[in-house]
Amino acid sequence: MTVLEAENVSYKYSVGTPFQITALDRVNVKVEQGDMLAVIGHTGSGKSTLIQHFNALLKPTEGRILLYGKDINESRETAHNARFKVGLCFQYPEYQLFESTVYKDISFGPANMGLSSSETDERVRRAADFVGLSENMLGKSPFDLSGGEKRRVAIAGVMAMEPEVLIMDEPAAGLDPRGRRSILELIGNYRKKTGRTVIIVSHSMEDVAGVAEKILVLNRGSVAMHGSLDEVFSRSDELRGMGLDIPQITRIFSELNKYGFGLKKNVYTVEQAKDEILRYLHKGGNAK
Amino acid sequence: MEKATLIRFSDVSYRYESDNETPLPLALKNINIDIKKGEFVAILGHNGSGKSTLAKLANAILMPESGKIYVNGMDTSDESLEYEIRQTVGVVFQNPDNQIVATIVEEDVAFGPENLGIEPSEIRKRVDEALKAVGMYEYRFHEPHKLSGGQKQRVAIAGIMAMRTDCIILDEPTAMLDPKGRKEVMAAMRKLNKELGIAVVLITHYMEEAVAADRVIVMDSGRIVLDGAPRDVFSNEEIIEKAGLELPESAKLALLLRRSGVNLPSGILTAEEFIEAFKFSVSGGAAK
Ligand SMILES: Nc1ncnc2c1ncn2[C@@H]1O[C@H](COP(=O)(O)OP(=O)(O)OP(=O)(O)O)[C@@H](O)[C@H]1O
Ligand SMILES: Nc1ncnc2c1ncn2[C@@H]1O[C@H](COP(=O)(O)OP(=O)(O)OP(=O)(O)O)[C@@H](O)[C@H]1O
Ligand SMILES: [Mg+2]
Ligand SMILES: [Mg+2]
Repeated sequence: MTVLEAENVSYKYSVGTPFQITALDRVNVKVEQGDMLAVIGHTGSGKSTLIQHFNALLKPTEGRILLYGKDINESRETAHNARFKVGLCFQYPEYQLFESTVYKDISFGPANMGLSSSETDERVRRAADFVGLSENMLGKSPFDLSGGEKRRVAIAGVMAMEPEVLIMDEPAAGLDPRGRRSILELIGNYRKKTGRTVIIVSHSMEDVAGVAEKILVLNRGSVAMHGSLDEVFSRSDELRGMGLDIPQITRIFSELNKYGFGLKKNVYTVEQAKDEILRYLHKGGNAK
Repeated sequence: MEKATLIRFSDVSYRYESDNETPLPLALKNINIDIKKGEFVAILGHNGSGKSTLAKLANAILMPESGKIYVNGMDTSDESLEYEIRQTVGVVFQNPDNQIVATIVEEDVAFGPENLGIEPSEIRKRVDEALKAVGMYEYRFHEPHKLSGGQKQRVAIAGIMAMRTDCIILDEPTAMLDPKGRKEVMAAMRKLNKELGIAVVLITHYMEEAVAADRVIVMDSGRIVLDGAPRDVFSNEEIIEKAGLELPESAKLALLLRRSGVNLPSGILTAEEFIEAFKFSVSGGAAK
């Protein structure tokens, strides 16, 4: 089933000024129920613009956004409802944090969904715990936090809404390696446990390889590729031409294969690489 | 000859002010660092470990609770030296939004050098060079607050490059950049460092960037736990792990393989080193 669809969507910023920019140019994308999709693309390729269409924060200049087959911008009510069904975590957490305490910030979404205060409280504490925020942070002002701590609060706020579609713009940027790993795991588990649809935007090919099952590549406002990890990462030259890359491990394997090792090409993570090398050595693999 | 010290932290502790009676814990504890002229230093550490606080202290935005900080011999707690200190140490902060000072990109980049009283023709030259180095020259007449996340980040970096202060501190400059942009910014910093002898302090969560530095400092809960050459620092697997960090991908893979009995030397940090060692050990070397 298709959950979200961009139908011939174009979006222009600063219309009628000398700086008019076509940020999205006739984009057609279908996101299926249960997809774990990563959106990648060079700086300014239109990623943030596209995902802000998915919860009706931006309205297409041309074309339509369909949520469960219905035009998301049909009325004010459909647009409003989309904000609760589709939870969006912004690229810069500062855009999202505005309450006087961390607790209030995380509870904002669930409280506005009309949940009881005990249910809200439970969700806030669970979400805070999930993202690695300690109990004593809940009373702090979100502005008195470090960069990575702010991001954790912003993520917790969206997770606490338990949206049908979870969209995160650079969820791991600014997180330390352990935090990065646990947030990505958390996002993966959200999908696995609930079967819901998750979309992340990321500049880290390693993160994408670790969590996503499909990849959408934007290039200068247009869809350049949309497919499985294997389909996208096998086109390394094209990716590089767009300012992107393949995961570091994949690059190592492709270099080794140039020296005659017969290693599998579709290896993206350190764990997969270890298994593949051990398999290769075990069966007596040698150069040439 | 010993290189001259540019920034000295002498037994520095810092605590943020609490908004109630209970004081906050120390954000930095007894920090001692010497940054020398022309050094290229990376600072690593978990979220909230005190990296950004360190940067704000070096730039006289915050004053130590105890201990002393000297920039080129100038005591940062002497207010009359504030201007001169900021002419010596330039900082690109974590969120580029907070640093936009003008309504046109090229004016934003020119702001720093103008404040230094540099001659207009030289400013023109530096601004163009810096914007080209970060790939934002074609956006020079745009409004900075209407750029994408990574574009804003690039403009902020260009601004500090154009100032050419003796020391540049960058707080997670590549967090929102695409893979190509990350490489370009690293190359541009290397160039400033090599050609103009500018000391670069790079705060980052990317272990691969730290490997490219001459020296790596690791923070853990407000303290410095490691300080040395990348190879020495990353050989302390336990301390790295305990600090919430990880080894670079190539080092991780090498370690996992060694633990599974594959004959690889210790100390592998980069993809190139991994490939060399693997070729040797598997085809001609000591393995099997
Ligand atoms: N508020 C705005 N006003 C005018 N132009 C904008 C605005 N926001 C973005 N743009 C432009 O639209 C294009 C797409 O921007 P968008 O933020 O969608 O890119 P992105 O892929 O998210 O980039 P990044 O990886 O840097 O976050 C860019 O050229 C950008 O300069
Ligand atoms: N304005 C503030 N008021 C109170 N506490 C603060 C403030 N800013 C930071 N802190 C706290 O001080 C500690 C150090 O924060 P700092 O911003 O230096 O961390 P950091 O190492 O830069 O982290 P990150 O990787 O997340 O950016 C953290 O515990 C943080 O919560
Ligand atoms: Mg963006
Ligand atoms: Mg910080």
